Amino acid sequence: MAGLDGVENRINPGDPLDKDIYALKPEELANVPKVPASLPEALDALKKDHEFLLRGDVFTDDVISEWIEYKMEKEAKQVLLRPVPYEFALYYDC
Amino acid sequence: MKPKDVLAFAEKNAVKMVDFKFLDMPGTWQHFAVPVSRLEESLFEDGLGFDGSSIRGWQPIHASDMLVIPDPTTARIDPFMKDSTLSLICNIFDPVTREPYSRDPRNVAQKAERYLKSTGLADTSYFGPEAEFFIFDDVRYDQTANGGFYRVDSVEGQWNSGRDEQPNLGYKPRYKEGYFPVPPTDSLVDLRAEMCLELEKLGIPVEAQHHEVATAGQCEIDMKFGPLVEMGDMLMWFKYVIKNTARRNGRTVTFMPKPLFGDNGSGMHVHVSLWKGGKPLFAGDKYAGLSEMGLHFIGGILKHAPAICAFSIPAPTAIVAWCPATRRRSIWPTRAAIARPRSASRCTPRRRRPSASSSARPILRAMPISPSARS
Repeated sequence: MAGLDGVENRINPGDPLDKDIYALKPEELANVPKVPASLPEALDALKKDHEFLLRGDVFTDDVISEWIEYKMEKEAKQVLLRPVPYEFALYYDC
Repeated sequence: MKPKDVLAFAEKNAVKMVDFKFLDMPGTWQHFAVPVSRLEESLFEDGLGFDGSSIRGWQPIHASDMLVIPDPTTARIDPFMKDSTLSLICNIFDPVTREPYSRDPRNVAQKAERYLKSTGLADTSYFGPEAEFFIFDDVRYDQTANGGFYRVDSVEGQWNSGRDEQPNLGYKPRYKEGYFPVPPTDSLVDLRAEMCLELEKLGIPVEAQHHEVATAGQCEIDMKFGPLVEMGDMLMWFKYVIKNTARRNGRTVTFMPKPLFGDNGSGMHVHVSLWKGGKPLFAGDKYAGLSEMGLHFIGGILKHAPAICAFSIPAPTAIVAWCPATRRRSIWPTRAAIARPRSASRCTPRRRRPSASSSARPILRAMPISPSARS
């Protein structure tokens, strides 16, 4: 659906980045788009950008909102609620 | 106490060693010691040099020489050293420029106090932190390439109600019901009393001690409020005394925000008040007995609350501890907005700001609050 949106709206993919991205300097890397750093960030991105998924009634508002709600409430928040071992390494002696 | 008084104090207490305590950037006490023969009045001017490169958050190795200068007003006898030891809290300086070090949290707090005075709004700020903590019998954690776990335990833990303890004597606080039945359910009253008495011997007044809500030994001991820098020092002494008194009794204390899943985490309410010419500035005839300044002070804190959290709840699960599973979340919108003069004996209108984690580093976390007096 995202690809079709690109085709329908002639979206320019940008200039090629024919470099080893793992060797880029921080200032070069600053302009390279990145995926969300966490599930909540990804869900937030979907919340802001999902019109392209609704075309042809493929996804519906109901699917999108339930997906965001489910993934946030049943998964992301549940993981965040639970202490992890490394927190004890960092903070037990705080 | 002036430098010469410190020398007399050391002599009177037959001091053998002098311990210099200071804060790293995350806010834990560090220390080193010298024999008392090195204690001279000039030490309080010239300080002592040391390598700061291994201190968390400090200088890189090529610029690692630092200077500690002890504050003579902080002299106390450290109750946990075998030989009589004089303890001095220090500030950190650049040995070349002799400027106070910007990453020294105590220096940040001193600047906040000066800034408050420079605004003309108030001459004194009082802070009353209430740091909660857990007293455990055992703690283990590890994470390796092929596994990971954490496990805390306490004879009080509700999860041990069915354990064969030969015999199991019961009376383990139920989840969220630790606040606050009498013994034998409260198995830690004597240990907390020992902590209180140790604090009082150090000249740190205690207001109350009690079990807290969570099972497995969650506790609270409240100190009397004090001015920002002094209170920061007291809170460091507090954590030091609590942890070492527990250790002396074969127990282990943590101030980390969320050691148990599904029961309360440890927070740290902080009461704040501003004073000028001996008068409390937050008392008035507006909402909840507050002055306009009191309301504005709360407004400033609420406006900047998310940013303050970077200092006041500086741990991942401390932030998610504000979940429906604990009572913490409700504190944000409600208690934060309510400030009431408490008992007359305190003579100070105190405000409860949103619960913070007691892992919060005491001085840095108090610091962002003061400047918001400007708003």
